[in-house]
Amino acid sequence: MTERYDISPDVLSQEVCGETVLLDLAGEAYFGLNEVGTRIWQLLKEGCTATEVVDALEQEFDAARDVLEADVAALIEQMLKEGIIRPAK
Amino acid sequence: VTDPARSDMGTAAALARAVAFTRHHSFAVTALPESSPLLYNHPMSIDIHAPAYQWLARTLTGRDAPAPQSDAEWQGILEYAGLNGVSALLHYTLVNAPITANRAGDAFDLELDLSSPGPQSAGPAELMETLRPHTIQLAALELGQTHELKTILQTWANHAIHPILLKGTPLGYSLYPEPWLRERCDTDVLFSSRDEAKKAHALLEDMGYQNPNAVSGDYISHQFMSYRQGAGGFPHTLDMHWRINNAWAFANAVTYAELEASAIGVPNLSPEARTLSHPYALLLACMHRAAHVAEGNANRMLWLFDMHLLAAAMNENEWEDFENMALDKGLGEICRDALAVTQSTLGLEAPEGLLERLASAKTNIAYQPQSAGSRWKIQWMNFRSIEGVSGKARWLKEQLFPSAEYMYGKYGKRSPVSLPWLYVRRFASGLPKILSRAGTSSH
Repeated sequence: MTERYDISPDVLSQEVCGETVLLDLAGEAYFGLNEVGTRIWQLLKEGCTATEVVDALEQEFDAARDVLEADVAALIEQMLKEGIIRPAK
Repeated sequence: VTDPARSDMGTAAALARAVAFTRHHSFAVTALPESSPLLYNHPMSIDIHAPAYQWLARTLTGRDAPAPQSDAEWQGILEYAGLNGVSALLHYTLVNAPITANRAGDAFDLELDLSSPGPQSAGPAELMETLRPHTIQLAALELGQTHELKTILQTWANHAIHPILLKGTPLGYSLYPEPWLRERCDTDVLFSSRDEAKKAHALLEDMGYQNPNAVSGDYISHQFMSYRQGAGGFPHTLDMHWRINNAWAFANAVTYAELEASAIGVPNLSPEARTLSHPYALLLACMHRAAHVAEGNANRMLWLFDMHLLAAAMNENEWEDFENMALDKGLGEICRDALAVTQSTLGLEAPEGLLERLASAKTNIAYQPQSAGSRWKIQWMNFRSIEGVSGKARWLKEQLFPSAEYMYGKYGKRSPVSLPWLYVRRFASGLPKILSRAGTSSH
């Protein structure tokens, strides 16, 4: 939860219709993030760790911390798997 | 911002969902995403008097439109939006406000309940449900295409090639709030000459671009296609032009030199991008429309909407330039007709008396609008516009006997002995089709 992440240089992003669209130039898929996912994405782009992301979301949303932790971890894992982000050097 | 409404959803629903690319765009103009219900076939017939067309035109320009009364009518609107290339524009308009170059966000009262599903609103709700993913899909495509185009323009600039972008792509970046709202499946690029276009394509070949087999000649085709399976797994297609229209009657109406002299930048796209000045863009839009009359799709709404936005963006001097060009080039009637249709459908505002002045102007014999109603007439118009007997003979030869290279590619045989038989086979398979080819142009 203390690791920081780099955005893959092959990933382009665009906000549209309240969502964020991510396009991986190296792959054959695009990804959609809804409003909350977009917020997590923004925080990761700013260089926040998972813990810092959860801290921020806890301030912004009325949700239990353990729920937020689990969801942020799941999103990070999914993004790592898809090659959208990678651990910062 | 604390939002109690979100407290129960957790963030599970927010997690990234991968959306697999199918074939969003093919290098072929007709091939759009198979999964989308908003496909259009090209060519197709567009009727500006159809209720769905009228509803779209009024809604996109912020005028009251009678609400459709049945699911079938809503379905018709959805289909017509797809046919007319305005699905994303419709979604944007319903969510935000109608767009115009000068009056974005004007008062807009559609009087539709788009929020609460029910018997009366099932149509609009379904409409929004269908339009939203389409818009998101287009935005994703735009990301890849823009990245690709920037790379290409930079590569060309590094080799001192500075073409002019035409039609949808530069208009999307300069007149529309978001570039993906101007739907398109390729980017049209104009070069100073065929040689420069070939040189530009050679540079693209190094990037993996291909050049499909196509008829070519000095009189019947003034463009070729370059495509590759591009970023993100979707095709990226460029139409490489060296004349402004494929129909010979229009091909020389405007020269590259005069377009270049007034070209403007497209900073929202790339520092290397440039396009036509507004008067020339409007003039070409009028000519492009005329070249599509025979196909029955001249009034495709996205093309008229370009004219609507261009007109709204033009100042007094630009209108004067446009009028002078239209009159000097004998294009008065073609321009009048295009502006009049856009005025009656989308409410285009033209300077007072312009349409009357265009109507009374002398029309170049090559651009008789009444000759544009059928492909045969367009071919006749093209034939008449070619100067000299040798030019006309060359045109006929190019129509009837495409190059051996093209024939070999088309029929998969590569033998000089078989060439005459390949021509016979071609004639047998459809002489009318052969003769209509030069009358079509890309968009």
